[in-house]
Amino acid sequence: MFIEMRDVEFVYGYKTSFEKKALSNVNLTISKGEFIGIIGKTGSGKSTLVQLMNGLLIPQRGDVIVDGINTKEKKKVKEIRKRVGLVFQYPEYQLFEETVYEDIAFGPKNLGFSDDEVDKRVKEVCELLEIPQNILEKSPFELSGGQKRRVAIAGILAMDPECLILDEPTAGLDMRGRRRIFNIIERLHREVKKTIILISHNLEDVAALCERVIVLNNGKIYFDGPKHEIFENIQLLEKSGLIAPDILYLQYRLKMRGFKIERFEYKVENVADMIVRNIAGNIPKEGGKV
Amino acid sequence: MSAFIEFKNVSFSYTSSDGRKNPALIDINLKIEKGEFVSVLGLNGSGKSTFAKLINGLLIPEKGDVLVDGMNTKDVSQIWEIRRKCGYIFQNPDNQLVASIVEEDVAFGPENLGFERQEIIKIVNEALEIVEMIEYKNHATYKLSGGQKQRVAIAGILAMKPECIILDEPTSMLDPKGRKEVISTILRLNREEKKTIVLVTHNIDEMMYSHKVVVLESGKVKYMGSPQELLKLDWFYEMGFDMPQILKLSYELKKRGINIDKEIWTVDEMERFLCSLR
Repeated sequence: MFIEMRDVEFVYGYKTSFEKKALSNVNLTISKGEFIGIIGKTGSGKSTLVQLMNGLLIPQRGDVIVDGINTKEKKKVKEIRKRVGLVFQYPEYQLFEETVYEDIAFGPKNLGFSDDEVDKRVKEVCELLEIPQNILEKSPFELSGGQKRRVAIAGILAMDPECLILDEPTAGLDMRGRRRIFNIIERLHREVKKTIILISHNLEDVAALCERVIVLNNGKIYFDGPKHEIFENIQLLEKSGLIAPDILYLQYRLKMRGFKIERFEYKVENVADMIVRNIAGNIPKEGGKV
Repeated sequence: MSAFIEFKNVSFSYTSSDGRKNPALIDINLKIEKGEFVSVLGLNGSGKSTFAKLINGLLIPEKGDVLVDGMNTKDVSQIWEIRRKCGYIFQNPDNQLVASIVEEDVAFGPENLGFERQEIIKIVNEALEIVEMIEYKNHATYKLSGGQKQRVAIAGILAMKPECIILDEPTSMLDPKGRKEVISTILRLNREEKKTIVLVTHNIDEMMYSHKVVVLESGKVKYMGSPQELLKLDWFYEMGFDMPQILKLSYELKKRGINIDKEIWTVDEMERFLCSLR
């Protein structure tokens, strides 16, 4: 087990008159190599949940164990951060160094790596994140929005975490920028074998990318399981205040109307193929005429 | 009759730190009439934000002229009048509220314009009514959701009694609920308050409400016309915009040889159409 949460409860403004319970009764385990999507309405506790996973927040009740270390052990917080990298929303707001290189190198330097090792890591993550060498000496503020975003993610990845958590990593980017980030995340999962946890408002993206889905509702885990179990059960999804992507609604309706749909497809192209197969099934095939 | 906003042979470029010029807009000519709702569509780097910033003189053209209600944005003596007439809403809801209480924030503009107290109260209330935030008038701004913050920012602009509101990707940082709130506010501003709207976006759903769409690509106008006509063009689907899923599906089905004579938008319509084929 890589991350384990046991009976976790978290309250903001604990023991003040502003107490607000953000999470309660959270139990879950995450294994190495998983690709998990976390979804839920605004205010459902998604960001709180992931901040508990790398010790940025410490639960008032229950325990969060990362690779055998309890996040309550204050002396080991660095060890936890090394293992679980958290990319915040709009991470480019946190770029601060004079050059792109310095910004990416900041994390591994802080972890005490030698200059050579730092340099090696910077080069590695630049390749993974498709950051061209010729921008390394530029100021981060000269870059385009998509580039800044990738540089900010590179800074986290340079610490070589086992698990990468991304909170809305494509917010504010256009389709091309989004696709690029998602391709990179998929590669980090498939080829570099990182554990990936993705928070997103965009259910289409989560449906297309993740294997396991966790739905939060009012600070509790509402659903935790394989994606098809929640995305093919539209009523269950709606009860948590989420709206299913249109192509799932369509497949649900078509299935009721007698289309042959064994498993829902999550990409529009695949849905189109599936529909064509269904329609073609009703037209006598030319090859069938003898 | 002359147009409310006019771009005449406008070019603009940014200079990078090594002194090289990167053209952002190249020889743009277009007119926007009073009361029109125009969407400006483009991918990141297409020049769409530059376009918006040129309208109210946040940027000044390198070549050519931008005229707003007959005033040239190059004319320093008229820049404040141009900015009052064309209010600007930015992408990030957290970057544009100046006061800690909603009504104080909305009052900031008219206070600076030197209105009487009673008049300010009236203006602020009206503006908050329009964006449906009146019941939050005494709330702290930092506690609002993203969609609410954007609507307060819009109220702050309305309090300056502008003729035109420019919105630069106002929903891209919002959750689905916030998006819906802001878009319905924009629609109301155009349809009921008769404000001229320039909406910079890369969201196709949002574009559909506008009278006219301008598609920018690499600093040039690639298309100018109605949203409906734009949907009939194949290149549009390959450009890499965020397509509503059902619309994209209808395009994919066409590519696979299924005969669809008009664009299908909604799940209902698609269901009906597909069932009719079986």
